[in-house]
Amino acid sequence: MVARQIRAGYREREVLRGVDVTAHAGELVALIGPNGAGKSTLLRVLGGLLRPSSGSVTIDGLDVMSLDRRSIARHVAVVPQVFETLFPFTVREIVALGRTSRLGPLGTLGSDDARAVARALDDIGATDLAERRIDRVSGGERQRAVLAMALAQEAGVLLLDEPTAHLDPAHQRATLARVATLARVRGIAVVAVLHDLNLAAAFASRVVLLADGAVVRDGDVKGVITAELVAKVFGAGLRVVAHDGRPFVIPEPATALERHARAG
Amino acid sequence: MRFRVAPILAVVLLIASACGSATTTTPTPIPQPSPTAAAALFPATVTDFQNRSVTVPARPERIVSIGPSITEFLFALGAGPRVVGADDFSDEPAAAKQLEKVGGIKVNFEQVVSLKPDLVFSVKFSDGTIEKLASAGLLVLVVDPQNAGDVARTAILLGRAVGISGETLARDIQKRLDDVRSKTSAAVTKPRVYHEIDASDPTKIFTVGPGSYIADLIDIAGGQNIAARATSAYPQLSAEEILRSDPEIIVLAAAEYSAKPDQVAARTGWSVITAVKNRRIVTIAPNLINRPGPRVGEAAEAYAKLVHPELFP
Amino acid sequence: MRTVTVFALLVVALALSAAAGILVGAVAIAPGDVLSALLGADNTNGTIIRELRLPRVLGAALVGGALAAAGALLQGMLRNPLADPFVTGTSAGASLGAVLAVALGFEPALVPLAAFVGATVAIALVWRLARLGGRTTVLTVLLAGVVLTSFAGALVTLVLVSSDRLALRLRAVLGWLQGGISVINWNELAVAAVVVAVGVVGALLLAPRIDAYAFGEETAAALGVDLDRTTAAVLATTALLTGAAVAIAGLIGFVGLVIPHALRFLLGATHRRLIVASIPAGAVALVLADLGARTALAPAELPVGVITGLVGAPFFLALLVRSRRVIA
Repeated sequence: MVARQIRAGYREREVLRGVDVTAHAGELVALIGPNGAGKSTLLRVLGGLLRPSSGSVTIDGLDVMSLDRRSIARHVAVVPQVFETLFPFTVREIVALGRTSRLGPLGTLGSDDARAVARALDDIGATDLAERRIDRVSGGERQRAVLAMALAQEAGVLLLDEPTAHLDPAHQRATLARVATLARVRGIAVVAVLHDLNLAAAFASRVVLLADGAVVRDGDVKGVITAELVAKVFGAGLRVVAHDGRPFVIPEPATALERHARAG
Repeated sequence: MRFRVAPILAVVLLIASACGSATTTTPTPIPQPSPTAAAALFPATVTDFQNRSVTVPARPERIVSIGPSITEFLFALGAGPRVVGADDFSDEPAAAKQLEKVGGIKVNFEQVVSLKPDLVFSVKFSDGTIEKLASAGLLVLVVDPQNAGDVARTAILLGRAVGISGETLARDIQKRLDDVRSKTSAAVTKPRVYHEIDASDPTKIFTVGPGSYIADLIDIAGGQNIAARATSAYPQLSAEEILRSDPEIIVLAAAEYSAKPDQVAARTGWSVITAVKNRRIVTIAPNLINRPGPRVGEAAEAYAKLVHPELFP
Repeated sequence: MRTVTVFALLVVALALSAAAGILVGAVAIAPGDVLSALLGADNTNGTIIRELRLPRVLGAALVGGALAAAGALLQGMLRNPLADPFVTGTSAGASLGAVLAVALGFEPALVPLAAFVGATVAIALVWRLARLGGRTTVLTVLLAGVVLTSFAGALVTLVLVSSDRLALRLRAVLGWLQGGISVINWNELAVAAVVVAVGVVGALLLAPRIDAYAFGEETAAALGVDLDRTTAAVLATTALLTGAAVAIAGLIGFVGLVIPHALRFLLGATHRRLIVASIPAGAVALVLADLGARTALAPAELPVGVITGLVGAPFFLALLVRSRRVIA
């Protein structure tokens, strides 16, 4: 998936000011940056949910903006951030929603669809949840169901917006580990907006650092998560240490922050 | 149900036909007694048809009439000059049209009060209009005849309230009614009659029953009202009941809001009714039939002609 | 509960209530006579049963099924279990159409047609209003519907109150506005049945896309649903179903609201199943409501809308109490 020179925004406010992003099959690209940098906006543009004012997004050479919704959905799957529903769908029915873009005119689910649903549930390890009601499972289980739904779309690109926002640390790691594995195994290009820099460092094959609507650095983990860039973009108060060959971002203890503040 | 009857009643008793009124003759007015003789007639206690007693303290000089039948009576009695206001639908005699208008289906209270009447006659209302008039300090007499004989006696009732004898007028009306009755009682047949008051809502068809003077007119005219066993004066019938009772004659008032004969004949399922099969769907002038006024004798004659044309060539 | 079981039960219930509706009426007719009437007896009873009662019962079933299906559609699209066809302003448009037709002196037979046209216009208007912001969102549709309902309601009242003479003619419309299966003939019934059938087919075809709305419009778009086209199709199908229902029976509330809501507890949320079951369920509800309307205060007829309101409101409150969350 290639996004070139994206300029996009809402109403009069331009959020993205010329952004280039590329994602290849098998990669997990982490999109990081401070609040308001435009990460979610970029994700929506990549998903074809927001029209950029200029620039293009292509998948395998196809211009996303020229496709209709159904075709876009076959190439790009977006895992929704908000998934509250009042209706008592079962997990299996939710996962089956992923097949919406591939339904025939009569809208019935065929054997291909059933297979894709089963495979998605299996990949996510949610088969035991299949007959449970979506409004009665835990947050983590709902997360997995929705991830399986996106996988059931069998699209080449998977987009996630803070997929671990409401999960405990164990679930956070498990989810991202699963996603990274799936990217490799299924040959999907994954772009994930992450707030947790350490998760990004642990699982991403590439990191794109976004700030003020522009790309600050695009490269491998070690090249992007550096002390200098972290300080520049996120401000003082974070220290970057190396451990096991990987960078770790640690918040400075309170006393050190005071020292920084007094030093000016 | 009662709430519904009120507008129907109002409709029946107030609406004049917009599409031309038949030329009819009102009975000749009785000459008024001189004012001094009238003084001895007051205060007068008048009991209306619902046994309510009203005392009229002095000869009323400013009368408001709410109801075209009442207006006709007042003029027939010779009290016309003393009527200062009437409802929108009062159009007989011609002089009544010049009167101040006090409202149609809804009474314009302010207008009535501004005319400073010393006596108000009104048809029956069940929506609190009478109470409202009374609470404004006005003297109100309700005129609500339950049968044709009551209509005749209305002349006496009104006469007593305004200080003119209505005996002669009442007698004339009653005689006309009796003449019709004696003629039709000799008839060989007594056809089943369905009188349609209002079917603007096809699921709620209103007809006349005991307590309505129209039902009494049907009887005088020698017909058999299919709703004769109903429990109210303006009962609601279902299409099923009408079909089952199979009227031989269907009578419609020819008002603008009434159904036309061919519309009635076209109603779903009505083709099995004898009256429809024999094309005996007839109309009668609304300002004749819908008014329990001094021309009720004429109304009886007109009705009898419809029911027993063989007796009234 | 297994879907097949529920559906079978509903069909049986429909047959029973339809039988009750035909056996009971203003005129007492013995069951034996009813049967021979159905078989074509050529007498007054035969006419009463075949021309008056049977079309009426079938009309009630048709209207109930149409309203329930429309309700299921809308609740799915609006993700609001409190939605019903009238929230989108259909009833407002229908009533305004009818009132204007009567005020302008149209033939009585054309009044239901005017109502249907009004319903369609209302839905189209709501659709345009909702799109003014550039994107059709569910919330704007709801708001536009509410605004339209208030406005049309005010216009209706204005017309009704402003003239005595109009008030006479409009007595019929008032009765109709309160809901009632007016005497219909087989022709009207056939036309309405065709319209409802088209609407039902449309609803069933749209059902899987409605499922995709479960997590919101943006997710539906991401899953491959063309939002604008689908919303337009749902509104059009709803207009068709509601317009036909309103044309026959005036304004009847709660059926479109309660039936799909209750069935969801039994059958789950998949809309195709829900719509299929809503149709017989709605039919039963309205046939019974009409029966109640005809018999509760015999010989006077209550407006059917009164029965559905009296029964529907407490029923709905009970449902609300049972379900844990009400509105998103």
